[in-house]
Amino acid sequence: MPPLEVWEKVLIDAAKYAGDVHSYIPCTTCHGGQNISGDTMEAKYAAHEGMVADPTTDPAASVCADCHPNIAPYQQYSLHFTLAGYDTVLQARSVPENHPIIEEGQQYHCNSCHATCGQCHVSQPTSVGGGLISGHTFNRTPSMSRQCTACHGSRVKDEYTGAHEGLAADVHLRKARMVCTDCHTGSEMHGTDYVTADGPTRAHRYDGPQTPACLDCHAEVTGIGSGNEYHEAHGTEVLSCQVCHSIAYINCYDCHLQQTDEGKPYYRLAHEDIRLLIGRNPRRDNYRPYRYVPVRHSPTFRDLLVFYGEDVLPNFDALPTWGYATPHNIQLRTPQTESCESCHENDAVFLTPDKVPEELRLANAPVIVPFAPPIPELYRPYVPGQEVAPPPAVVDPMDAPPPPPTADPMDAPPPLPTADPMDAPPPPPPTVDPMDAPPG
Amino acid sequence: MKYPSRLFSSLWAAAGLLLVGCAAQQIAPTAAVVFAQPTPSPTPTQAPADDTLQLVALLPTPFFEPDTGCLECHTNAALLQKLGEEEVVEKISEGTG
Repeated sequence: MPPLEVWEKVLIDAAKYAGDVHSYIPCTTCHGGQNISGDTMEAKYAAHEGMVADPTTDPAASVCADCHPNIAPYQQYSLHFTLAGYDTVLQARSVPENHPIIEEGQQYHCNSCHATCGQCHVSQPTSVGGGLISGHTFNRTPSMSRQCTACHGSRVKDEYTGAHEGLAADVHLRKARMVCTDCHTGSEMHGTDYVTADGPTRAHRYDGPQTPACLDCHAEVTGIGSGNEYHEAHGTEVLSCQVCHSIAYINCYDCHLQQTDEGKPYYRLAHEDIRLLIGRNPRRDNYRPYRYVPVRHSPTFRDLLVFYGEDVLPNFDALPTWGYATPHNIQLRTPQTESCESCHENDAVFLTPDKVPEELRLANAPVIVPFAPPIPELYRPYVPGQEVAPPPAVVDPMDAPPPPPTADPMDAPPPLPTADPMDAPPPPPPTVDPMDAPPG
Repeated sequence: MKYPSRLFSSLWAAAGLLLVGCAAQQIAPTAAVVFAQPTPSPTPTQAPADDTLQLVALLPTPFFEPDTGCLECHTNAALLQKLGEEEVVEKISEGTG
């Protein structure tokens, strides 16, 4: 997406825009300002007096609802506008008296990603510099390259388009040329698809039903009765589809929020890696009943907001740093689908304790998998001439008993958070010396 | 009556060729066809009913008078480019509202 020159951002394509119904509405009706022409600078400044570049920034004053009363009023509840997901996870890690500090940090570092009606239907998002994308013509369907992935770039775009070296683009793009809006509907974007007793609002993008869900299109090949051996074996409640059908994705660590001397916000990631790890489902509910899901490391860390104050996140361990993930790099065949042994008894693909630094094990207790599930008896490969050994007792790590008490109380694992929604047994102590654990 | 044997031979040959030609269409598909993955068809996005035109039709006529003063500048690429070079666009494009 080439950047627009500053003058291009405000250029109206007269021929194109004349065919748009919105051209019937005078400019000043939406943008304010004055309908003044003139060659002098005074006239130009006067024309822009009181002008609002994006009249949809404030939902209460948004003019869209005048003609679109069935959609526009819901903008204020949309996650694209509220960014409520950030509030939810940051406040859960903090205390109420620190919420104003979090708010201040978000003002500088997060709120440029607010998406208004205009930033999806008329211009590029402000976070990438704004600017009219089609001469002020309104697009009913946002542009994948200039609007959706302008914000959702490093994770969604790069994974979906196969930008990471050696990793294929998502099958939905390769085979069907599907764009974002083929799966993510307008009702999801506008926040009208999930209405609770409190109104049409989500506190997090994984609240409520999956929108979209793989089963929306692939129900006939999913779960028991599908005829697919793997799907028959795992049903629909053990693994999320992405466990088997995703490939490696990007994980970010330790985002340092800072500002330049001029007050311009920026951030710096300590490091990132590209890998897929399977963890326990931290958001297990009726909509997402899976025991195992791919987990992605979010950029958060204990001192995320240290620029704004000391110890702003005192309850940092209340949520895992490895979160429920829905990577956008779906493939029919992946390393996980090669054989049963790709996952069973293969700790390498699971978020085992040794992959989590000791200081983050308490926070990540809900997602850590103690050890890879054993291979079920019936799937032992048969070798002619060899006596078949009695199968080992099949113990699913999710059902494993709690570990024995540690001899030295100083080495005992810290207690689990009380709000574990899974009520699952705690993971056993680390299988390797924590001093040997990879740096986090 | 003496049948024209050459004619019957030609007819039989033509019929045979026709059968062979049809049978060629029934040959089992190649492995590439059998194992090709089905291409999922995207779910059509449910577009909301566009009642905009109906609403606009209800508006009074003076509503449609364009703001020619604004459009004079904002449809003039050459002028905007010149103003952009002079950094005028940057100064006033965000407005004061």
